Amino acid sequence: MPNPGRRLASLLGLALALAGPAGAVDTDGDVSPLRLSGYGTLSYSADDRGDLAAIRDFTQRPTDGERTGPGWRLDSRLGVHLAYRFTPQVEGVFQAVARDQITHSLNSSVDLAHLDIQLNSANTLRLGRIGYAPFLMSDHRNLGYAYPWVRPPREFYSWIPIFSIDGGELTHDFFQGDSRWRLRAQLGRSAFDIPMGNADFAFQADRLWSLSLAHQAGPWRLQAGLSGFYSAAEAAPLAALHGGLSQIGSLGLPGISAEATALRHATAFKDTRLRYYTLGAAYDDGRWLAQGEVGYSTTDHAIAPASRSAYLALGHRFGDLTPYALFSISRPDKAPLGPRSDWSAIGQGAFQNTAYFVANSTRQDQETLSLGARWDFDSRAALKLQWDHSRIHPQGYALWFRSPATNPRASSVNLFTVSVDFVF
Amino acid sequence: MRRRLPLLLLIAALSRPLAADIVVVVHPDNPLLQLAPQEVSDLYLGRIRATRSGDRLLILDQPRDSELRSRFFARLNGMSLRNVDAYWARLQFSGDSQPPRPLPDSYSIVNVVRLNRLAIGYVEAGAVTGDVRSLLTLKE
Repeated sequence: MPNPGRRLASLLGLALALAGPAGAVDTDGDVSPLRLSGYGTLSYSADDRGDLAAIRDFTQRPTDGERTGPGWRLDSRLGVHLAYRFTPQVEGVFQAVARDQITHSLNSSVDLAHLDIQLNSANTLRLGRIGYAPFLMSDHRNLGYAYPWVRPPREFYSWIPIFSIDGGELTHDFFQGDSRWRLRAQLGRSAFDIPMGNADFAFQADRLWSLSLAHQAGPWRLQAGLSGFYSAAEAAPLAALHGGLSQIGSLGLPGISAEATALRHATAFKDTRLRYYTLGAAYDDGRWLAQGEVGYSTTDHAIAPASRSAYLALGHRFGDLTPYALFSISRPDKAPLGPRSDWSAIGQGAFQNTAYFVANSTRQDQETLSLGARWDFDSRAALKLQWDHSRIHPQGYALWFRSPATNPRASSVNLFTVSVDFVF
Repeated sequence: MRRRLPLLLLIAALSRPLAADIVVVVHPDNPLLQLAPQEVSDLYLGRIRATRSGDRLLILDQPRDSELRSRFFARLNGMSLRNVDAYWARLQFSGDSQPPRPLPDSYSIVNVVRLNRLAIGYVEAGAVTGDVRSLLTLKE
């Protein structure tokens, strides 16, 4: 397996070679070519359930599984951003973010590390590690200061595990009167770790591409995007499960073997294809703000999340105070898988239950109503309070750490969060 | 002719920038010849970043919380500084583009603009010198 850090370094080396030698045509006087800035969120959240623990994205594992109580880790993060102007055509960008993930390494913390090359007035090429951009918020999900609510709607964004791409991006800007259009194409790959129980799955998104068209006019921002990738690796933590299913599948037992073979296919990550389709709009006239997106994902294996998702948010600024409401919903694309025969006849009833629990584990079937307020108490910081009420349907708990016993029934949960977002 | 002179002087006086006016300035050799307020707004919101030849402009800003910066955006596009900063935070930290570079005062801005062909800034009318070219005046 290629080393992600080495691949990133070689991409940047190639980009530097393409950019040519650095040399300023003009003197910048007192303007330093280097800029250092950053952002962060300090957040504390608590829910009213002892058997559920929320995750913000699929790279998190609560400290004590479903028993995890109130804490700082769900949304808190700190980002450091560097930009260097090599020439009037070429800038370098680097951004590292410390946030709760199961893996803490330089590679997992670097969100951006690319060269930004201005080809002409309309076209820009970026090479290296770039932000994943098909959705309205997908390239600034960590930046709480940029949006009114505490976190991106979980029903819509938590199932998108990709934050950045190792590869390239070409953007084309064009104007139509006072409005701007941007066409953006991205190509590359992404790798990150996903928790599976107490083990980790080194997920690799290969042949990753995205296309988006964004339109900006006055207070409106519209975006349509599509993206796809293949899961290149099998989940090592599922090796025993896959081995057992293959074994039962080869026994030639009527009904049971065919079911085991189907489950083996349903729980396979390797060579699974995923596609995302999305349409979003945002409005901000300085007083009223609204934002909504609809999304659809497809996959050819049951274990990968496939769903229809949407959210709609509305807020109003009263000076420094912005109360808002947000509703988000996610529905799985297919009904949950269920037993077709009784494996207890061969002494494998518990194993069959485990296999179905795994096969249905990424289903997201829930909706959340959020009410909150943002107070811009400083020009570079905002305090937010948010209450989320989520209703989760049977076999739809993918956005929560939970025990298998919770899975078959519907339930609801309240999540309270107070956070401070800042930039520097 | 003698009657017209006071009128011409009056017109000339009215068309000269007042001290409270804000002037967008560039280097005399800057390829930008004239800009409408909408185009200056596009520059200061990162929607236009480069000249036709692909040279990225060095866009200069007043100090982040300065009164001049507040007046500039209010006149240019009606945006409050809070909205401008939140807008730029999204662009900057998504890796899309870097916000205009703040300098300590108008003197520093004029000093960089007169030395850099690609620099563009805005200053009070009283700070404009003969070393720089005015592109747009935002009247009081």
